[in-house]
Amino acid sequence: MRRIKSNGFLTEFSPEVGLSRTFLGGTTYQVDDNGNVSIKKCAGYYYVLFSVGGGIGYDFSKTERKPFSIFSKFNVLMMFPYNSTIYLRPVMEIGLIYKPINFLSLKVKSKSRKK
Amino acid sequence: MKQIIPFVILFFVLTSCQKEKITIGTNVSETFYLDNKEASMRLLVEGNTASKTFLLFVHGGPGSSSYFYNTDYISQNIENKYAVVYWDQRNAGGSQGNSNRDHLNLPQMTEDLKKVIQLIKYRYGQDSGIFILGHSFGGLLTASFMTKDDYQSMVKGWIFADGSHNYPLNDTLTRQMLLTVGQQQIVLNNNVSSWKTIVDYCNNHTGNFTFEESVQLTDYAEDAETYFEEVKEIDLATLIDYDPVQYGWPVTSILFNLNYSMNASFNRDLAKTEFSSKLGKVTTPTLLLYGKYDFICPGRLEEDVFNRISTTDKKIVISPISGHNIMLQDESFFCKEVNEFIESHK
Repeated sequence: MRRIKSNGFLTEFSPEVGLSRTFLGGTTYQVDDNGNVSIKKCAGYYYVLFSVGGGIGYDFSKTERKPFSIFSKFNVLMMFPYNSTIYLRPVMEIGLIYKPINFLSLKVKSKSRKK
Repeated sequence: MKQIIPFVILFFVLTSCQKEKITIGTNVSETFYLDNKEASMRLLVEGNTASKTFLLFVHGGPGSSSYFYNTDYISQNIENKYAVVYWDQRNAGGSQGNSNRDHLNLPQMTEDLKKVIQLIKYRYGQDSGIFILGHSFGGLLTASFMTKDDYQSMVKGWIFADGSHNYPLNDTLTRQMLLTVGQQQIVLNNNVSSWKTIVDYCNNHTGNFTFEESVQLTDYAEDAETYFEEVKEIDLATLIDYDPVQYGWPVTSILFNLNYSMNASFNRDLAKTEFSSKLGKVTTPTLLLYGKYDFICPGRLEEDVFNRISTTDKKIVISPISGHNIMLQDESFFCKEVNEFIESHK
């Protein structure tokens, strides 16, 4: 949920639910009871993922008619069941959004409120 | 054609990260995983794999991490001669899994250790010589390994550093050491109020310890070594201060795994576990190291191991300035003893 004020400042709050698929960062082996070793392809795990984030930014299209915004956002990802418990991961985003003038313009639903 | 390209790219992304890489050299650093019974355990191999000699750290906890042993000092003084294997046990450090609590127990971890050794030999050659080093809880795990079937034939040496092979005896010895040293320190007027609390607790809890009493004794033992100025203080904050970002530590994973494993129900089973009665089976060369100020796993545990193992090729040494983390608190002493032991038995 992003709110853009008429002066261009924006705030964002984004609760998310998803599915995470991790890929282990190295070759993963299995060893059977006879000591035979094999490689497990695409090893990793599925986790349920919750994310909550908030951020601030500035939309230059409101005041300077330039088609981009800058933003900074902090998220916390929570995955479970991670080793029978949870895994928290903080994520910091700093970014620039470029909005081509005619790109999907008809599908954007905008609400504006005038003081 | 255009629709196929994304799938081709996805295929290569998914398969390229799994390519096997085995390096034989003098300054190697590579990570791989052992997948066993719903856990994928991280293994980091660093140092001189060309030596064909491997020192395998079996960390404490349960639920601690091998990341903590991977110091610059060990890199410069052991990894230059041999390869060091930093293994994160299940539900510890950088290891991953889903709901796997049913497999978190000592027999399963003993099987994990066996498979770790089989995997190292598969990667680096069946003629590789492996030395296992158990620290703290790793002492219990390696004692379990060394006394099971003929597992000890897989290793060339056993290093037991500030370890415990007998938790009930451990509680008794920790209480005795806290009581004896505490009374001496009160007479010397050192940290009187803290020692008085500990001594009072020991006087009121004399034996047949419950799990809760065992946990409390360990808490007091952790505090006790910090009352001596000659002992370098090592706690979680100190370890994390080693610049985990530079070394790529998964800090939150380490902390959540540690918290889960230390509070997991299988700790109640561990509290009753002992291997003193089985140590007579051990015929492998053994090095025992302990710190004079280790209250958590007092040196008399090492003496018990020393007296019970059958091998005549054994050595016990004490660091005069170390507590429970000899490899961090007396690094030069630790590396010298470990290197000498490996060199004479590789």
